[in-house]
Amino acid sequence: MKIENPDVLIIGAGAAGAAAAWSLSQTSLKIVCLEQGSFMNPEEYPSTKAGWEAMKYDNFNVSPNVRKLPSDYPINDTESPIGIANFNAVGGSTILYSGHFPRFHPSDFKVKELDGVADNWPINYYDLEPYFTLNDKMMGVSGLSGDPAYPTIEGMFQHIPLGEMGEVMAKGFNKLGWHWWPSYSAIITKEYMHRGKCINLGPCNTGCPQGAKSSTDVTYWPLAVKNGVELRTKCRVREITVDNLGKLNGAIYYDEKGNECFQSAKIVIVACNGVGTPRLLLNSKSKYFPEGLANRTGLVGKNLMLHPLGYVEGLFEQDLKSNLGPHGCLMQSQEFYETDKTRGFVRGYTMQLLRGPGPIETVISGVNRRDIPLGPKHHEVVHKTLGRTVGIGIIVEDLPELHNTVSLDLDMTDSNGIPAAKINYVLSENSKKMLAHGIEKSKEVMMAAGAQKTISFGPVRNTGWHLMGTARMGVDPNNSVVNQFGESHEVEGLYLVDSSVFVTSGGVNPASTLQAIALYICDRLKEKFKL
Amino acid sequence: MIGILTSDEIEKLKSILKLILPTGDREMPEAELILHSIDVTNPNHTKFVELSKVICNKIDLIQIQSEEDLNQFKKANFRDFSVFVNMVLIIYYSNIKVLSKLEVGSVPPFPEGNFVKEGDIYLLEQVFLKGEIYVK
Repeated sequence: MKIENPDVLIIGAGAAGAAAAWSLSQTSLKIVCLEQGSFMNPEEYPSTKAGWEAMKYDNFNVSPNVRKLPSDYPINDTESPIGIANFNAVGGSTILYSGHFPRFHPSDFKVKELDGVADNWPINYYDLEPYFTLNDKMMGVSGLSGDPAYPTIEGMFQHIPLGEMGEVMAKGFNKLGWHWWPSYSAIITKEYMHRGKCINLGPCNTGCPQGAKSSTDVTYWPLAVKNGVELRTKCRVREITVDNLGKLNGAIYYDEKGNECFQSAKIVIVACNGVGTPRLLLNSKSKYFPEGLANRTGLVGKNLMLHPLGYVEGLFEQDLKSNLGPHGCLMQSQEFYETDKTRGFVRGYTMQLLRGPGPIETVISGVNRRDIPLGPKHHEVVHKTLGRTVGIGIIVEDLPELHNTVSLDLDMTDSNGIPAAKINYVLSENSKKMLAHGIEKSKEVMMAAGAQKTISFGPVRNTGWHLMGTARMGVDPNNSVVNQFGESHEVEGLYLVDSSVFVTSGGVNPASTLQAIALYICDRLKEKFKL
Repeated sequence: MIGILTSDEIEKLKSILKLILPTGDREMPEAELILHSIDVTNPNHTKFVELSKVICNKIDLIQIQSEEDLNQFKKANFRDFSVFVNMVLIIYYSNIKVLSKLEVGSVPPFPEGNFVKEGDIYLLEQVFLKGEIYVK
């Protein structure tokens, strides 16, 4: 049923928007969510078809510039060594993410205090801890308690199996005396909330037909909709609007047929990620906000952080069956996570162990690198490669820098004529040193585990999934866009709940933390309005 | 397939595919099977057809009879040939007969899951004993 006069308008139905919608659906608020994509049909996911891997090169590509679906908007990332990756649908990028779900560390919230760089957050790990726990419960997370790299984390399903590959790599880490731990995975290993458990197929990154991967279309959204939230799909918001007095009053959007519509609301919650959120704010110009909404400081779109990713692949002699099981969820090492200045850089990184790719990716990358020949020896070499490779993704914490930006590209527009996002990004010297260190250490552990040879490169081009920092949170209105409760310093009732509010980027995948922040902010909103 | 590709193009493609992906000792399916499974509604297949026509326009049938001939052609047409080969590999390794023969576990549409052993979790003993490594 259509809600005519909602109290709250949420823009974006991905990881953060879903968590916010569910949280606020516990109140008496009338809530509408506008999402430019639509509901996915799990029966149509690539992994239900023989050609599943080929679809990664087309409609399920990680880049919106390749997919060019009606739900996508273009992103000009030619001025960045890292291409932007996302997915636009109910569930957002959780539809394609690997489900690797570690939390930020306590130190990530106070890097200024500890290392003299960037800024401290106005909140800390322990403020978020109950929301991490709640989010794990709502999403369904598997893992193992007792990790010495974190404060105690409990209440997870049994961890994803290690398999032969995991054992081999564990022994390699042990030989070097380095930390490793089974992954925190937003993938369930036991049936839960009408969702099937993981059956170790592997292609998580093209959507999970079992519903085992915790994408928000199968976690938060069914509950939020049951609780009365109206989710309008194929609706793309052009701008957030203010009235004649400069007070927030709603948003203008295009519906499925391209009709321009206005939706009024007293509270607007933006959850479009670290690129989509600044794009929308910058496009929301008025006489009160000529530089874009909530942008008097000029900080909207600044301080973009992308987590430069290094990659090391090891080839092993034995068949590790590495292509079986969730691709991105096996184990992680945080041996080099916390600052040790003798390494020549501050902050650190996570080594995320990756299972081997499927046949197409294995063969194409092997042929392009000339490791796999064409001709008579082709099939023999493929046989000795497939299932025998192990990857390590090195997730580097990049620090906020004003020159790394999201802006509007007035020469490029989406199908509704809205300016595209333009990315300007360069790696800092600190990030480059960290990347090089991570690659060397990853090679070292591969050899310790018995790899015959390794290949490495970084930053990897199409890995810009982690979009952070472009509307940072802070106590001081002169150097932040939103306050410690997620509300704009300038526009009452405007809340940002996604990773654009991150002050720093941590060295882990951000999904768990950004959802915890969304839940935290919604509780502050409930307190403010006594809900 | 006739109508999408001419008989001349098909002959040329067969000779190229045989050289790129010969059946070999592992008795993998012949690469020409991709010519028998072209689906014009599949964007990858339509790209393959387009690229095939580009390649076929550049060669005479008698030109490509051996690996050496193929290498010469590849050197002279590096970019087009590389893109063509990538598309051949995508379609070949999407074929259910090829996937079944590869023995890579459950094959899509995945009626069954895969067994992955739990692994020895006691390998974590020394990690656990190291104590906390995070900064509070």
